[in-house]
Amino acid sequence: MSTATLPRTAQPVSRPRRGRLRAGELAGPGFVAPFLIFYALFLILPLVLAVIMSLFNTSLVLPGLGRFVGLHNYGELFSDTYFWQAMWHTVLFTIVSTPVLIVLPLFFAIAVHRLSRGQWFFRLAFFLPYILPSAVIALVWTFMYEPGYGLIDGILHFFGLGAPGWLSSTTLTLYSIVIVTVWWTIGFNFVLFVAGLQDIPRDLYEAAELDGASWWAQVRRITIPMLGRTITLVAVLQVIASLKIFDQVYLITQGGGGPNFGARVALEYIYDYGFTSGRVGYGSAASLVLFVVILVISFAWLALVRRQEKGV
Amino acid sequence: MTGQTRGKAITDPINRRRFLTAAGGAAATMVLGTACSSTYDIAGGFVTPQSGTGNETIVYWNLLSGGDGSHMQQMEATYQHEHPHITLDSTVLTWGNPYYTKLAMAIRAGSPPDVAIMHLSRLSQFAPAKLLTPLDLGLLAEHGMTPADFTPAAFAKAHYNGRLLAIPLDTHPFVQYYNTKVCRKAGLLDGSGQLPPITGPQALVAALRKLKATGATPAVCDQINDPATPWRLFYTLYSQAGGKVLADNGKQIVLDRALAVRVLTFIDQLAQEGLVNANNDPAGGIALFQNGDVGLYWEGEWNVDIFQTGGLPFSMQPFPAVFGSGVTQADSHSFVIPLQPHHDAQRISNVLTMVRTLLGQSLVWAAGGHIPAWLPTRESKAYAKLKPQSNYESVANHVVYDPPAWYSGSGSNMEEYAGNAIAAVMLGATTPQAAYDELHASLENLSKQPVPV
Repeated sequence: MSTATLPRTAQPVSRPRRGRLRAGELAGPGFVAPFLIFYALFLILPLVLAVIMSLFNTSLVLPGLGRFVGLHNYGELFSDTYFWQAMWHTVLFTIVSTPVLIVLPLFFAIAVHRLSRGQWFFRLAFFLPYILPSAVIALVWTFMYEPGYGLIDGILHFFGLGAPGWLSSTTLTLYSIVIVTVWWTIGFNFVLFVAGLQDIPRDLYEAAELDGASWWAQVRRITIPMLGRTITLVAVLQVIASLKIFDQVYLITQGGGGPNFGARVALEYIYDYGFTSGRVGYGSAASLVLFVVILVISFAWLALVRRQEKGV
Repeated sequence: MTGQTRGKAITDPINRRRFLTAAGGAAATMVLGTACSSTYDIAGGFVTPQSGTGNETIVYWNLLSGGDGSHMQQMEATYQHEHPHITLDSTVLTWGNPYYTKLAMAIRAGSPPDVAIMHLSRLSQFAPAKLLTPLDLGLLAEHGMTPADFTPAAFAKAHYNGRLLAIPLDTHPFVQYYNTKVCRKAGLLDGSGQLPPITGPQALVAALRKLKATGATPAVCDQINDPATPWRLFYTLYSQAGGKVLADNGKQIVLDRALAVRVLTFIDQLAQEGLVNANNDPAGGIALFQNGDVGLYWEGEWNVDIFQTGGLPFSMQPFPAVFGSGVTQADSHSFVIPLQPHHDAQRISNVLTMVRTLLGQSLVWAAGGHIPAWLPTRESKAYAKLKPQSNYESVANHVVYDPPAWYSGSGSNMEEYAGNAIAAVMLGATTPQAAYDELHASLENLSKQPVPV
């Protein structure tokens, strides 16, 4: 029995059952239909509209599509330094936050998994920040980053250290937001890793221990390879999540993008131009470019980690 | 063994079913709740109107929170008390760009509020897009309001291309708060315990140095997450020196290099000498001044409530005339009637009655710091007695509004872009020349964009 349920690398195979197949033929599409309608209405249709609007100088405050401008919006976009600055911030945020948000939760998950007591406490502690809304996170961290009397500056001053301008420096602000994001979202990846760890059969470790393998050897030779699929999943989800960065930045910088736009990310650029400036056509062009960039990076990244996984 | 551990991780189906039933019930209750009551109030959740339906409701949008918000609520309550048959449905939205974006979208979508608060500096965005209902002077007079009842500068600014589009409620300038205790210690106060007007750059620097010598922070201003304040400081000084920023409704940049660099150099000097602490966000600036160890505080007058409640020994006066004239950057809250899908004379009449009732309570509004645009209040004895609010009353006659453009005005892209460039100088992080170049480049970027209105 126990060997039968032993998950090799946990890929559930659903075996179609004869009796239910006919009912399922109708029930399947029936159950999916409500989703499909919403999907078409709120995802496919807006996407098509965005493609169309990106070729017009559509305005938020004027009726109709506006005047056809061809690829002019794209031309303006590609020659705008502010756009590239914002795109770079999104990419930079992804480059900095992704490795941290893979390695740290993995480390904590392995550490907590080895505890014999009180695992529930640490699981809860790591996951709790994740259930808070971004608005709360932004408020709390803005208070902590407050120059002079904020918690972090207070601690630094206590030890006689000077504090950097967490949210007032053009370069540091984005990193300050990376710290916030790591604290906020570490719990999600942590839980995925904990679940993955529970799927690794104990006997492997027991066998390794009998063979005299050290703790580090066990992690390197058993834990990491057995977590391969989870790591791939976390890596891909994290890259996509990081590329979508918006709410923390918008809330912490009060919609301003940080000092001298030092932390304005691509989505905020789109918001600024598409909504605030009312240039929906131009904003659509910008969001389509971001869409393509996310798609390309995600696929490239997926291919890369897949290959890595096979190599292990 | 492994089977057991896996079993634990799977959610108990009974629990899940129970949860879904409960969640479904809750959702259904919420939907029913919404259907019964007619409005959703951002601040208070679902509310059921007290009385009235159809034309008997006035939907009123504003962006007034904090002290302003509670004053406005008090004024609304008075109106509601006098007009119990009409339901005033007031919605408070976030200040700045998001408010104006939502307002524009609501009007374009054909479901605008009946009346809304708008900064007069934002007319240059809404008027060309024809999003507002022009106001008829005759109709205004019928409801007890004539042009002579308003501060002339504000009333003039309420026009676009010669048409009246807004009814001004106030003028809210950039001002100077001062801590009387700290200023007395620095020997800056006169016999009556007031700070005499400071005129000229040397006098201001000298005063700040005296304050610094007492060990206090000479002056506080903020810039983190608040590009509007650096803009207000710069635009005040630059306008005092006689400079103009935009022309031709924003299509042209007429920023004067020599003048702008002169102003930025002055701001840089204050930063380099440690005379102004600008490393604050708005809440930080308030907290520092409230802590009592700061001489001067430069900000809009709307924080007066906070310091009065906090029992701080302070007073207020117009921002110093540093470069020549004493003009000061200001804006005005005003009432506008968004373009309605169907003309409804009764509804407009109801709105004008409401506006007139609120204007009649301008003294309540003035307590929050704003200079009433309603002259019967502004010229009243009661307002003159309102201290320190009436100290800077004369400023309303010497104000400079943000230059008109589709991208300018309160909390706009222009304030954001320009403010960002100026903030770097306030921190001493860049040279005045580099800041000028950046200021010019960012304005250029905005002015070259196709006009969306």
